[in-house]
Amino acid sequence: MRPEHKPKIIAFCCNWCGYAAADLAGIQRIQYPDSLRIIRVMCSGMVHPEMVLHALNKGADGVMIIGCQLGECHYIDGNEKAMARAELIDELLEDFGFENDRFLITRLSSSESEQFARTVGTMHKRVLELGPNPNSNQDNGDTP
Amino acid sequence: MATPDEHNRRLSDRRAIHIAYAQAVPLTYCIDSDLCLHLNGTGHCSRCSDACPADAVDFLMSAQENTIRVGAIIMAPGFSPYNPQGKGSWGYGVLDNVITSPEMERLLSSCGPTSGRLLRPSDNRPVKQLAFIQCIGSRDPHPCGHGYCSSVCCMTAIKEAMIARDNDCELEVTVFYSDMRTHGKGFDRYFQRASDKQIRFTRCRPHGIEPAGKDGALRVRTINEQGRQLEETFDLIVLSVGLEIQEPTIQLASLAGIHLGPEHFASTSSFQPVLSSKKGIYICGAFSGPKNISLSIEQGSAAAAAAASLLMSRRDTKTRKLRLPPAQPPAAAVKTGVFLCHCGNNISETINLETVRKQISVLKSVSHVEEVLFGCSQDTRELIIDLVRSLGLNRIVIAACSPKTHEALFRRTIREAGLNEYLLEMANIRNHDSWVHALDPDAATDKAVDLIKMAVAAVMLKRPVTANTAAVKQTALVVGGGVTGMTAAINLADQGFPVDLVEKTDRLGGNGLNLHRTWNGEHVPPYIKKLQAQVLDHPGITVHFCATVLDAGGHAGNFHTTIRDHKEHRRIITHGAGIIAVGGKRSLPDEYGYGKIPGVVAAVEFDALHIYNDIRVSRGSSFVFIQCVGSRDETHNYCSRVCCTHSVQSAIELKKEDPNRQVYILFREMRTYGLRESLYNRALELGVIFINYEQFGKPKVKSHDEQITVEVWDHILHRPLHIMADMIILASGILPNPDAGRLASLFRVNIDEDGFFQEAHPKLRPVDLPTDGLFVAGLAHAPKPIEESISQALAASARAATLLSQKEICLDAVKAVVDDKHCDGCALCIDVCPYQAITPLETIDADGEQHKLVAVDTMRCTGCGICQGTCPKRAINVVDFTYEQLTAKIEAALN
Amino acid sequence: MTAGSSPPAFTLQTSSHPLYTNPALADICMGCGSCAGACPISGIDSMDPRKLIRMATLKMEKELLSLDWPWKCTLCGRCEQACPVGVEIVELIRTLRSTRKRALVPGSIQLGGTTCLEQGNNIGIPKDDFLQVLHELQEETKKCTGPDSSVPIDVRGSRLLITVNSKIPFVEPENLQWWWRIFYAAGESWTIPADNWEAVNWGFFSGDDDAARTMVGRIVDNLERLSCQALLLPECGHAAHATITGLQRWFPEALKQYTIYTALDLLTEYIDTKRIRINKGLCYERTTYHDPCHYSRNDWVTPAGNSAEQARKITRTCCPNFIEMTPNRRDSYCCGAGGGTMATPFEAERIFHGRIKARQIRETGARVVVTSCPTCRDQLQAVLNREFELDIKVRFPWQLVSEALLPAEKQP
Repeated sequence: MRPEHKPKIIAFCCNWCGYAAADLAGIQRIQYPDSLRIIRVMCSGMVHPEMVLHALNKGADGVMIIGCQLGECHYIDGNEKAMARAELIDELLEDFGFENDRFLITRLSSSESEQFARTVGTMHKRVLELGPNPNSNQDNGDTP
Repeated sequence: MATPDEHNRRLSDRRAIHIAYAQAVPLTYCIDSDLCLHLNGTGHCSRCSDACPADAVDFLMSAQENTIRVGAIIMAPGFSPYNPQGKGSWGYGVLDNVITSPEMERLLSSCGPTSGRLLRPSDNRPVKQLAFIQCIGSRDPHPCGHGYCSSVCCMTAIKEAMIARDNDCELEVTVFYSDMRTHGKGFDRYFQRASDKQIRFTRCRPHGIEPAGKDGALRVRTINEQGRQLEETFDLIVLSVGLEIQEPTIQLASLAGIHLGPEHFASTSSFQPVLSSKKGIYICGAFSGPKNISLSIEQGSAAAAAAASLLMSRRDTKTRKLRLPPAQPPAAAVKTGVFLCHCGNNISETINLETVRKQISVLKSVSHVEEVLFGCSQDTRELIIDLVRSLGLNRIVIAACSPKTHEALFRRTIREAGLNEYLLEMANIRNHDSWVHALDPDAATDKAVDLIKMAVAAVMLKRPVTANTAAVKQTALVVGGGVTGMTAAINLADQGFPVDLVEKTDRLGGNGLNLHRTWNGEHVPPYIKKLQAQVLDHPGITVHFCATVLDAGGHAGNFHTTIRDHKEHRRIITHGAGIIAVGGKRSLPDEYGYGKIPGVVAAVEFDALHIYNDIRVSRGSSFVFIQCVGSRDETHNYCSRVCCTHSVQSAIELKKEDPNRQVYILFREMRTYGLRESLYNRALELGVIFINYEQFGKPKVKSHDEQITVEVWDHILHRPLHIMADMIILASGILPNPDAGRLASLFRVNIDEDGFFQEAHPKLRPVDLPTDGLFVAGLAHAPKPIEESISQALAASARAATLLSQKEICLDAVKAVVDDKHCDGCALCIDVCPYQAITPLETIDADGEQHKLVAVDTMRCTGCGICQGTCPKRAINVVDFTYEQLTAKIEAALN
Repeated sequence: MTAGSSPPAFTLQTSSHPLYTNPALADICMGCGSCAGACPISGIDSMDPRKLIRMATLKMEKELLSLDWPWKCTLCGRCEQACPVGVEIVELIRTLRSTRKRALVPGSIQLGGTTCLEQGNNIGIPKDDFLQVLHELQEETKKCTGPDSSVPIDVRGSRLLITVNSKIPFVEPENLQWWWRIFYAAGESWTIPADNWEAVNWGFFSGDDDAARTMVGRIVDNLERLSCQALLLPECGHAAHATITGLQRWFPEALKQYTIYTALDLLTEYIDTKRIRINKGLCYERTTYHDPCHYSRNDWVTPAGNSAEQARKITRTCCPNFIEMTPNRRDSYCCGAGGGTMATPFEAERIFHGRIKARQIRETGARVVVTSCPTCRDQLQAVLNREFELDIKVRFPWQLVSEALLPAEKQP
C-alpha cells in the first residue's frame, strides 16, 4: 500500500512581514495545513528565481514567496523587484514543465496573520488538486 | 509533607521541598521552613538531605540581613488578587465549581494541574457550560470594600473565554458584565472577535451563586437586557477577581515612608506618574493603580529613566562590564549541538520531542542533542555554555521559538562560551509548528524534524563572522514638541544626551495646550508652561520650530534625518536614537447637528466655554453629553480612552456649580477605568443621570424654535425619553496624526489599520518600534490621557538611553559579501541595491590581469539581499542567508 | 427595538416635589441589575427594583406613586444586600409607601393601623373580650402548669413585659399557651398589659411614621407604667424589627433602661442558664429551618444579632434529623408574605414570590419546617403547602420548646 503523499510547500518569507505574520499566527494559535516549510529571508527580493526552480526540481509541491505590501518594504522596493522577477519565474516554470500554479508570490503585512493562514490554506488546496510533484522522492518510501 | 501549591492556586499540592514554578530563577529547590518537619521543629526528618547525591541540602542556611546604600529605590511590589472567600454570596470556598480567574489561568495552562483540560473541580467531568462573573471585589464598595475598577479583568475574562472555546468549540461560554472595559489598543477588536466566536456577553451583574441540585451544578439568577429574570445553570463559574494591595505591601510602604491613597495604592501626581511621595523613591506597575502588562512595562522603564536622571552624576561608577572570552579559532570538523526546547509545554504538548531527538541524533554532523525545558532561562543558557566548552561544539541549533524573539539572546550565550555568535541557527518549531498544528501531533512532529534538519544543514555551512563596530552618536532626535516629546527630551538631556527636538508648529505643547485638568484634578496649563521653560532653557536641547521631517535613513547608533525648518532650509541631523512623539488630532464630529445647531459643541470646545463662563454655560440649566462620537464606529474601530472620564469630570463641575442643573451623560460603555471609577460614583451622587444607548441606538438631536431636544431610549425602562437641553456636548475621539503614514514610511516603520504607529510587540515592547533605535510614545502610539503619555515618554527615553549610553555598538554582520572568484563585475547588483551600497571595482591580480569586480560598503549595506536575488553568478551573498545555505535548507526540507 | 406600538415617551425634568433628598436612595445606582436578579418578584407588573430605582432617579414621581408594586414587595431586603454600591432600596420603597395618599393604601394595612390608633389593637377587639379570652385560656393552661398558675395582667413590678399579636387570642390561642408554659417552667415574672397590648406595628408597613411612633410609644409607656425591667419583642419578624428600630429612632433612652429580648434571645437565655430543661430529640422527622428575613438578613438590628444560630440550636436539639435549605441565613429567600403583603389582596403575587421558597423546601425533602415568624408560618403552612403540595408541618421554636419541656417536678 503506497503511503499517502504528504505535500510540501516551501515558503520564502521575508523577515519583516511574511515571517512576522507567521509568528503572529502562532501567537494567535490560528491553525493551518502542515505542508508549509518556511525559509526566512531578509527580503522577498533576496529570493533568486533559480532557487524557486531548484525547490521544484528537488520535489517541492509548491513554492511561495511572501513579502511586504507594496509601499511597505523594509528595504524600500525589494518586494517590487521580487514581483518583477515573478514573471521570469513563470517563464522558467513553463520551460521546465511545471504548472504555473505551483508558484505563488503574495504580499501581506506583519499584522495579517489570518490572511497568512488563508493564503497557506489556498496554496495547500491548490497543490492537492495539482497532485504530487513528479520529482517528489516520497514514492521511494522515504517518508520523513 | 504536602501543602496546597500557591502557584497552581491551591488546585494541586506540593511538598515542603519544592521548586516554586517552572520559570523560576534560579531553577533550584527550596525548603518551606514552616512546613518542613526538620525546620519547624516537629520532627527529625532528613529524607531530602539523605537522598541528595550532590549533598546540596543545607538545613543550617538561614536568612541574612544586609545593608545596602543606594541613591534611588524603585518599588514594584505588585498587587494581590482579591480573595472572595466568605464575601458576598459567591459561594467561593463552599461550592467546588466556583473558581477565581487566577485559578482559571492554571486550569487552562498546559503546565497546570489538569494539563489544560477544562474539568469541573467537584468531579473532574468536562465543563459544558462556563460562565464568567465580572467585577468581583471591584466596583463593589458595599460588601467588598473596593470601589475602584481593576481595569484588567474584562480583557482577562475575554482571553480566558477565547482560550477555553478554542480548546473546545462545543463549550458554551457566557460573560456577565456591567461595563465592557476594553479601552486599550486593539482591545475593542478583540472583544468583537470574541462575540464573533459565539461567546455570549450579557450586561448584567449576578448577585450570587446557588447550587442547582446536588451534583455540583450551579444556578445563577439574573435580569437580562430585555428586563426578564432568567435562571441559568452552569458547570463552572469563574469569578473575575480584582486587584488589591494587601498588608505586606502596606507595611513595605510604611517602612519606605511613602504615601498611600485610601485604597492603599501608592499616591502619585499625574505629572510624575512614577515618582512616589518621597524623592528618590520611584514606583511602577500595579502598586500605583490597577493596570495591565504593557502599562506596567512602560512604567518600569519610566521609573528606570527617572532614577537614571536623578543619578546622572554617578553613572558608570559601579557598573560591571561583561568580560567575554576570546573567540575560538574555527575547528576543522563541524560538531553541531542541537537543543530541543520544550518551552514549558508549548512545544512538547504537541510535538513528540523524544521522536525528534532520535531522528536528529542520527544526522551526520550532529554530535549532541539536548532537551531543555526553557531554552531562554538562565539555567539553560549556562548549560549551553557548559556543553559548548566541554563537548567542543562549534555549531548550535536551537529548536524553539522564533528567531525574532530570542536569536539575539542565544547569540550572546554562545559568544560567552567563546563561540562566534553567528554560528547559530534557530528552528522555529513553536510559532510555526506546535502552535499552528495542534490538531495533528504526528504531522507536527514530522514537520519539526524537517525544520531542524533545515537548520542543521544551514548551520553547517556557516563561517565565523566578525561584525564591525560603529561608534554610537550619543544624541537623540525627538519628533514632536508636545507633552510627550518635551518629557522625553528633558529626561534624555538630563541624562547627558543632547537632544534635537523637532516641532511642526511655532510653539511647544501640542494637544496638551487644549487641556485644563488631569483626571485627578491637577491643573495642566502651569505644568505645560514649566515644561516649555525647562525645554527652552535646557543647554542640552535644541528646538527646531516650524520644522518637518523630509527624509530619514541610517541605523541604530547612526541615524541621519533630514528636516526642513521654517526658513525652508534643509538640515541633516545625525542621531543615535529617535523618539516619535508626533501626537494625535482631535476629531471633529459630523453628526448630532454639530456645526448646524448652535448649542451643540465638541468636548474640547466646551472646556474653554466653561472656563471662560460663556453665557450658554452660565445660563444653561440642562446639559447633555453624548459619548463615543467618532470612536468605536465603522471608520474608527477603537476606543479613545479619555472621553468618559473627561465628560464625567465636566458633569461634576457643572453640578457642583449649580445642583439644580440637569446633567445627562448618554454612553455605550462607561469607561472610567482604574481609580477613575471614583469620579463616576461622585457624579452619580451629585445627581448626574447616565443613559446607555448601546441597545436601542443612537440618540436623536433635534432643534425647533431654538429649543434643543434629545430623544433617547432608556436602557432600564425600555421606553423613550425626551430631554430638553440647553447644550449638547459631543465627546469626540482622538485621531492619529494625519502625517503618521508619511513619517512611518520615511522611518521604515509601520502604522496599524487605525493609523497609529505599530509597536514591536503590543504587550512586551510597547514603546519600541520594529526598527532598532527608534521608539514611539504618546498619542502617536494610541489615544491616552496625559499621565500615560508621560509614562510612555519616560519609557521611550529609558529605551533610547540604553542604546545611547554605549560608545559603540556592534553592527549586524548580516551584510552582503562578494565572492571574488565568481564575480565578473557585470554590475547588475549595483542597479538594484536600494542603498547604493555597491560600487564597481577594478583589481589587478598577481599575474597582472585586470579583473572587474564589485565592492560592498558595509556601512550602507543593510543585508537585504536583493543583490543576491539578482546575481546570475551566485557571486554575492548575504551572511547567514547565502545561496548555499538557503539551498541546503530547501534540500533538507525535501529530503 | 420593540414591535408594535411604542411605550409613551417621558420628558425628563427637575422635580418640583422631590420624593427624597438623600442620593443613596436612588441616584447612586449604576444600573448593574444585581437587585433585579436577586428579587423574587422581578417581572410582576413588568417591574423590578432596578426599574423602580430608575424611575425615582428620572423623577417619575407620579407614575411611581400610582404603582402597586411597592406594596407587593415584602421588604425582604435581598435587593439591598445584593447592591454593590449600597442603594437604600428598602428605604426607597418605604418612602414610596409613606408618600402615597392614605386612601390608596391597598388592603387593610391602613385600616389596621387606624384601628389600632383608635382602639388599641389592629382588629378592634374590645378590652372586656380580650380579658375574657385570656381568663378562659388560663383555665385550660392550668391543666399543664398547675392549679396555682395564673396569667398576670397589668401586674406592676413584673420583670418582663409581653405584647400580643391581635390575631392570636381568638384565632390561634395555642400560641399564648406555649409561651405561658415556658414562662411557668422558667419561673419567670412576666405580665401582659391590659391596654395597648398590640404587638403588630402596621404603621411600619404603611409608611406611616407617626402611627408607627405612637405604637412604639405605647409599649414604652407600658414598660414605665408597670415598672418592668425587660421587654419581650413580638415574635413576628417585622414587628420585632419595627419595635426595635422605633426604639432606636424615637426612644433611645428606653434601650439603655430596659433589657430587650427577641423571642429567640429569651429562649436561648432560659436554656443556657438552665432555667428550663428540655427533652432532646422529641421529633425525628426530617426537619429544616426557614430563616425569616428579619431574623437573618436584617438581623443586624436585634440585640444579639445572632438569631439564625439561636434558632438552629433550638431546632437541632429538638429535631436531630436536621437538613439545611440552600441558600440560608443572610442569603435566605423570603416566604413571600412579609412586609405587610399578607394584609393586601395580592395573593397571586405572594404565591409567585413563595415559589422559590417552596422549591427550596421540596429540595430538602423535609416534612417539618421550623420558623420564627408567625407570618412566615402562615404563608408556609396555609398557602405554600397548599399551592405547591409540599405536605409539611410548620412549627415555631417556642412551640418545640414548649412541647419538649421536662415537667416542673423534675426541675431541681
